[in-house]
Order: sequence, then C-alpha cells, then structure tokens
Amino acid sequence: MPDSGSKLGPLSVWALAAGGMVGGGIYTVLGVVIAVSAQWAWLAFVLTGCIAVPSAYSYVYLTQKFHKEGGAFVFLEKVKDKSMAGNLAWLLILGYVLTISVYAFAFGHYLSFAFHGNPFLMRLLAAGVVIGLVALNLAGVGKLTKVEIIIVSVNLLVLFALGAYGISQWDSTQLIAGIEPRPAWSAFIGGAAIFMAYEGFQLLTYEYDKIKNPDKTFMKTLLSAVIFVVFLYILVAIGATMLGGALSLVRFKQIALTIAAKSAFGEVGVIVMTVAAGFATAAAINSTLFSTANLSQRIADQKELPTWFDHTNKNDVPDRSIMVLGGLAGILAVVGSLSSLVEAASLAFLCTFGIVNWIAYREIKKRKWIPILGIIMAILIGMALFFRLVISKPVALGAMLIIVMLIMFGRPYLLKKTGKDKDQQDED
Amino acid sequence: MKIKHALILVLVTFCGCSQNNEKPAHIRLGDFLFGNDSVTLTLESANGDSEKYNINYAQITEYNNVKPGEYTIKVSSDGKQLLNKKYGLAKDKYYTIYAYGAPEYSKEVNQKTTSTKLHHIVSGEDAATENGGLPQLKILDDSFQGGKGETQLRWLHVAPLAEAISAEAKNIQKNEKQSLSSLKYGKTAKVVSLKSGRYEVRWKLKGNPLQVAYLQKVFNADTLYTLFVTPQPGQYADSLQVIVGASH
Repeated sequence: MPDSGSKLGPLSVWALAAGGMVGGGIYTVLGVVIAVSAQWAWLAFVLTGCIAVPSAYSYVYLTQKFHKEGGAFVFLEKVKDKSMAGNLAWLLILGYVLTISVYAFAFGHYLSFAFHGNPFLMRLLAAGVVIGLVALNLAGVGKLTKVEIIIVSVNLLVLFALGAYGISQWDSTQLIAGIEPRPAWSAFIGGAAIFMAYEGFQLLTYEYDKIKNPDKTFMKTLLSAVIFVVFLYILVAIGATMLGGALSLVRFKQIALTIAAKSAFGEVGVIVMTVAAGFATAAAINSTLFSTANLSQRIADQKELPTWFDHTNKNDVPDRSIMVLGGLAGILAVVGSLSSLVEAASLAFLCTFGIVNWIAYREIKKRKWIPILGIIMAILIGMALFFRLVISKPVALGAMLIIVMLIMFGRPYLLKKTGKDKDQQDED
Repeated sequence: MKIKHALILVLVTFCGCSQNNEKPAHIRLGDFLFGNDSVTLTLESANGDSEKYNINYAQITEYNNVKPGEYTIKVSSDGKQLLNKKYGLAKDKYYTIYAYGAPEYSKEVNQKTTSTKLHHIVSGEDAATENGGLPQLKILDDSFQGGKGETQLRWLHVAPLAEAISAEAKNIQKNEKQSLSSLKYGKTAKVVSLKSGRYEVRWKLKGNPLQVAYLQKVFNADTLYTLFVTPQPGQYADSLQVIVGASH
C-alpha cells in the first residue's frame, strides 16, 4: 500500500476523474450526438448525466462500504453473486477494450487531420499510439499520475475556453446550421449513442487504496467532478456548435472539436486542439489500459478469467493482459467505425452502471432514490440505444449479442477447461 | 490562482485570434429529380420573406447569398409541392441544397417509406436511405478542408434505384489511381484529398467492368469538387451523366 505522502489528494482525484471522462469522450462523441439530436445535443448530455451522477454516488458508496478497490467486479463478489461478477467483469473488459479503441481512433484522426494525412496515416497513428503505450506499460512506466494530472488540467482548460468563447458568440442558427431541427425526445437517442463519454470516472474506484482520506473526501470529490463534467459537456456541446456549425461538426464528426476551433481561430485553433486532443486521448488510453490490465489480473487471480492472464513480467506488470487488451483495441481502432465503437462501448457501460446502481439500491439504507434514478435512466437510455441499433446497425447488434451469449455460456466452460489444464500442469 | 490565470490566458489568446463579422450564408441549389424538366425551390425565412429559384434538371446554380437564419425550403414541380423541410443556414458557410429521387405526383409532401422514417428517428442527419426512390432534400457542407495545394473530391450517387457504383480517379500526368468509394443510391462518398491536376474519373457498376459514367477534368488546388452522378434527361435511369460543382 502506498505511504500517505504518495497518496492522491482531493485535487488530484478530481482532476483524474474529470480528465478520465473528458479525455477521449467529448472529442469523439460530439458529432455523433449532434447528428441525432441537433439543437438538443446539450440535453442528451443532461440525460446521460442523470445516469452518471447517481452511478458515481453508487460506486463511491459501495467502494467505501466494502473498503476495497476493484469496482463493479468486487461489488458483485461482496454481495455473493460470483457468477454475475464473472459475467460483468468480462463485459466490462470488453467495454474498456472498445473505449481504448475509440480513444485511439480519435488520436489517429485528430493528428492525421492536422498533418493533412490520408486514411492510411490515420490508421497508422491509431495503431502506433496503442503499440507505444503498450510498450510503455510493459516497461513499468505506465502510470504517470503527475503527468496525467497536468495533461487533464490543460485539456479541461482548453475545452472550457472553447466552450465559453463559443457561447460568447451566440447565434442560435448554428445549432441547426445545415441540418433539420429535431424534437426534444431525440436527446434520448442521442444520449444513448454516446453514453461512454461518462465512463472514465469509475477508473478511480480501482485506485481507492491510493486515495488520501477516502472516507472523508472521495464522495464529494468524485461527485463534484462528474457534475462539473456534465456542465462542461453542455458548455462544449453548445459552444463548439456556435463556432463550427452543426453540419460541419456532423460531417467531420471524427475531428469535430478541431473543426470548431479552426472555424473560430484558424490554424492556431487547429494546433491548440490537436495538441490537446493528442495528449488527452493518449492519457486516456494509458490510464484505461493500465487499470484494465490490473483488473484483468485481479479477475484472473479470482479464477474468473483464464489463469494465463495472471502473469507479470520482471517489472511486475501484468504483461499478458496488457498485450491482449492493447492488441484487441488496436485492431478495433484500425478496422472499426466511430459510431459502432462508441455505441458498443456505451451499451457495455450502460449495463455495468445499471447493475452497480442495482447493487447500491440493495445495500444502501437511505437516499435510495439516487440509485433508483440511475437504474430508471439506464433502462430508458439502454432501450433507446437498443432501438437505435436494431434499426441502424442490426448486424453489429447481433454480433454484440453473440459475444454476450458467449460470455454467459462459454465463460464457465472455458474457465473449467483452463482450470483443469492448470491443475494438470501443477500435478505434472 | 494558477488555474484562474491559465484560464484567463487561454481565453485571451483565443479571443485575440478570432474574427467575427456578420456575413451572409452562401447557397447553391441542385435539381436531380429524375423525370421532370425543372423544379422551383422556395426559401422562406422565419420573418416571412421568400425567394424563388427555378432550376432545370441536372443543373446546379452558382452560389447565392442569403441572410443567415432558419428557412423553410419548399420544392415543387408542375405546380405540385414535393418537399417541405426546415434548415438553418449559418453565416459565412457554403452549402449545396439539392433534391433527388423520382417523384410520384399523386402522393403527399415529404413522402417517406417506413424504413426511412425509422432511420430518421434513430440516426437523424446521418440517416441515408433510398426511400424507395421517392424525392429527398439534402444539404451538403461545401467547406474545403484539404492542405495547401491539394484538391478535394467527393461524389454522390443520385441515380434513383440504380445499382451500386464504384468510382476511381486517375491523375493523367502522373498515372496514379485513387479509389473514390463504392456507393449505393442516395449515399455520399467521403471527401478524398488529391494532388491538383488533370484527372479522369471512371464510374463502373460495382463488381462489374461496365463503365457507366466518365469525366475528364482539371481539378484545381484549394477547391472541393462535388460530382453528382445522375441519369441523363429523357433516358433510362441507368444511362448516367456527371454534374460538377466547385467550391473554393
């Protein structure tokens, strides 16, 4: 356990939580949500915020109750639902792989656009950043908390400034510039498509043992970070649209914030936004990869993943987890489309957050309305996402359902087989 | 305090670089409604002002300046209104507004198939369906986002219900080829950045060597070219021509 001097204070926790969400989220989802919800894109962030805030409350409540880092997997273990814990852990890992691929996708697009690159360069950069960060993690320098705090702080400042400046240039036509106005209910579908933009805060629950005075500060810090991000997303959703115009942000959804910054500030805007996006997405990939690899090792240690993953290299790094997770994410970033990756990740995290709120509802004594709100909103938004996928991406939805079925029914078989093999090896 | 100072610095930097002059929106209009000679596009602003444009089939106009704001855009042909949509037109932006499809004059305004309605609900602006070949109105963002000295190309399949078509551009001087995507009816290809120069572009039925359209043209630097592949007037829907629009 780290000594108190090296532990994370409230400001660091706040910056890491807010930066973890904003890191890759807003850079990739803005164009997607504007396409669906037009002038109501900001409302989509409010609605999904109504899942994120109760979920943050539930996560912190349960982490403090069980006094153990590890997030949803540990919560389910503690409430004696080991089978569900295993299923959810696999789903969660899938969600993280998709999230890393979205961040890598964004990294490749933002940098490639700045250098007037072609699709090949974009894919090369997406794969390159994952390979580079896998190598960094394997070398044992994956978690650079202080560097990460600086990056996310600058990133938050740039986004806040862009949003605030955009609002100061108020022109309501920009919200529907080149697109048809949409009804307010479209915010449900828009929010459903981009829920993954809020997932980053829960990585902090994996760092619970590294937080200074968590019983006193963790709840306030995490909740204030999530609420801040809800407001920041609203600010950026409106402000960036004021600068770039709705149709341009939809057309260039992969690099929406660069287009907004370029419209307002020319090449200076492109440079600032490219640097911010590059560092923010790289930091988000790094922290997600690091945390997911450690989670995988923990799950393997509990025999809910093949024990092959429970392996560390000479730097005490879970090398096999990092290579497998990074490899899968890199492939998805190179071959996937933005919308499909974002929606698949959103679906995985909607399920996870809904379950965490459900556990909190069962465990909590007062303020039960908070997890209830999270559950209701997760169900509504989840249904909206399911409906969207049935209509627009039935093949992708089918593939995801097959993966979920494989997790539920194939996982016990795989674990039994790998467990037997391990036992056999031990006997030999 | 450090954060406060940094925030002020970023805001001041951004404000110092910005330019904000009230400028008009720029629109050009296109008619690709197969089977008619011309259409009338009417732009009605929120305060009741309206402007009418008569456009012949397979024609796109030059850019016209309009006051930025929210507009109702109506498309009629032979005295019958086919489409009626609301759009925002923002200052200093360049748009192509175009109608395409094969009208059925006995049906109602904005007629949509069930599939198109559902896709519109869940995907909004990203919905791109065939709509059974019925008329549709779309807007393109015409901003050039290429590098210095580059040219940009995109093409649209607006030949109602014709088969999927693939396109390839060849730089004649350098003998370099570049694929420009295969498209189904109603879709728009991604913009491709190329070196400026003389090109020939060939369209073929997807997976078939049969050439269905051809264009040879000099593509200038710093210009976005939009190529509409549409049926020839008075011919069958699979006898195609290419209409070119340039945006600087």
